[in-house]
Amino acid sequence: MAFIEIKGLRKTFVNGKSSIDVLNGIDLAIEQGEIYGVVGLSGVGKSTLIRCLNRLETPNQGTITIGNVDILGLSENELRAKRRHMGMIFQSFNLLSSRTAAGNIAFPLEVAGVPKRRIKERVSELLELVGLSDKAASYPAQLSGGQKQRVGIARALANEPEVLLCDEATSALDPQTTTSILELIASVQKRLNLTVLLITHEMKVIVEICDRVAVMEGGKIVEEGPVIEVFTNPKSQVTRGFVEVILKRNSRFLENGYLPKGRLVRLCYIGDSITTPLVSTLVRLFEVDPIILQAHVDHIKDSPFGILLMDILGTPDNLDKALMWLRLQKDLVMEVLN
Amino acid sequence: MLLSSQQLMMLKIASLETLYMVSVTTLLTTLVGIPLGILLVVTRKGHILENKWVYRIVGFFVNATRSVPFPIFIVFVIPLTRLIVGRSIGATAVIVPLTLAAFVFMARLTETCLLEVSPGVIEAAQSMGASSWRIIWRVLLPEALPGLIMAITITIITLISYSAMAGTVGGGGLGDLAIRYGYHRYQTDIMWATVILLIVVVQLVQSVGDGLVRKFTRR
Ligand SMILES: Nc1ncnc2c1ncn2[C@@H]1O[C@H](COP(=O)(O)OP(=O)(O)OP(=O)(O)O)[C@@H](O)[C@H]1O
Ligand SMILES: [Mg+2]
Repeated sequence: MAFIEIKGLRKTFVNGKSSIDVLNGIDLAIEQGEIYGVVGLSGVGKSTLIRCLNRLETPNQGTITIGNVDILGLSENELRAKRRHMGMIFQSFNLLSSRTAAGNIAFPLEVAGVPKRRIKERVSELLELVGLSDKAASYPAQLSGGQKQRVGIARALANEPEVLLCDEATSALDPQTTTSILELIASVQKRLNLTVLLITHEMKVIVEICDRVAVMEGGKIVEEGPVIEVFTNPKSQVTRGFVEVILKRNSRFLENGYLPKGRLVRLCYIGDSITTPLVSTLVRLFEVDPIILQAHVDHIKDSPFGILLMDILGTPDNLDKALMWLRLQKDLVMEVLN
Repeated sequence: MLLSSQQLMMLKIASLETLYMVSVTTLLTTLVGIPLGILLVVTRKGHILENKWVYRIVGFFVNATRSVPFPIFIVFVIPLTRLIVGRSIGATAVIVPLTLAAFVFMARLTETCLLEVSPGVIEAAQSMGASSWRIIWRVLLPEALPGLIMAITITIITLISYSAMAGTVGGGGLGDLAIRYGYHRYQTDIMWATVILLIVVVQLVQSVGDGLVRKFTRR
């Protein structure tokens, strides 16, 4: 059984006479020690879903188990105790403006009844962990967005949680700060062997740190799997849209009305295939002439990932053979665009 | 314009009476008004201790109390005043209607302050497993502290002016002195002295309040 299991989760918001079904039967299984991402467009119910996990929101139907504990069956007291072992970070940081960075990190420790002297030690450990030792005495108003989120992360980790819930943790940050915060989440995840559930509307976040991803639409999970698989072989329209956002810069050629002379081919290659001499092999074996329109190598989490857009010229016979050969390559996804 | 020593003595006594009425009333008002304000916030829909009936009943009580004009209030609560302090005139007797009129005012001001506290911050505390009691003491009140200080400042100043009406039941104080001597007996010098003294006191209270608000504002 997975560490976090969500089954048939439904949530309907009722406002006077009108009501909206936000979650329409969500099933998810998240393994211990993985970073699991949920991506979806704005308003699709991602926040509602993540808030059900620590019961900030009460679902109408379904079950949630975390480490064999039936979350929806907990009494108020049990729930409070359980929440102490679940960290959460927020898009708007949600720090206490009346407390310093150190004071904010101390808060969950006070809640858990940790003795004063131990709190002091633990706070300085945590400040160091997030690289903010010199900001201990600063108030949130004196910190940048990235620094505030670092305090938020330290606060979420204070009681050594088993789960970290991230609700759009980087959406209020610029791209560079986003990367540094994601790196921090990934590094603490590894160090503490945390299970992380992260929701976002940005595929970039998923690609940078998640092991697996679920794509949400209309209050349902429409696609799910290891990030590389979903990314290289998107099945639904929404997922393709998300992937496009990342691929877009590689397709500008086409948008500008490029007229292909041969077969226009887009290759996505992952893992080991990235080190095969693809183009030269094509030239040698099939006597075709690939024109490289765009090439791009990136990483999905720790695996290299490449995209190659080529216009391949040659006799029809040679072209067919070349494409056939490409199709047979392992870890390579080919798309013929004309 | 110089005041006679007798007039100075009257001023001194009146000042002490005002000080007495306002400080005791402020204390009682704060002690009752702030908890009531907290109740008005936390029992709201969607708040940490949502409770429709408590919210409605407390809200009705506060509105009802606030609808009665203060001079009428003084007369209206005479029986209660007798019951509590044993008589219905004098400075101590005035404290009863003053407190009753002011604590609901304080409750509404507190409510406004606490509603300013970001729901996200409250939610963060909940996500850490904090109890409602802890959220009230360690989140709502500290986060709203500057606003609460401002609310107490406004209440004190309002009480200073309300206490002037206390003269009608023999409460004394600065306002009463100004009315009796300045208005009814045309002793304008004492009236001016009282008015100037009141202006100075109000300014002083306001600047101490502003200073404290600045000191505790971290935004
Ligand atoms: N307390 C509530 N009462 C009524 N409707 C709500 C409530 N909370 C959320 N909703 C509605 O539920 C839907 C999903 O909201 P949710 O916040 O889960 O979306 P989201 O996917 O997190 O969006 P975003 O990316 O913009 O944060 C929205 O249409 C929203 O208006
Ligand atoms: Mg959201």
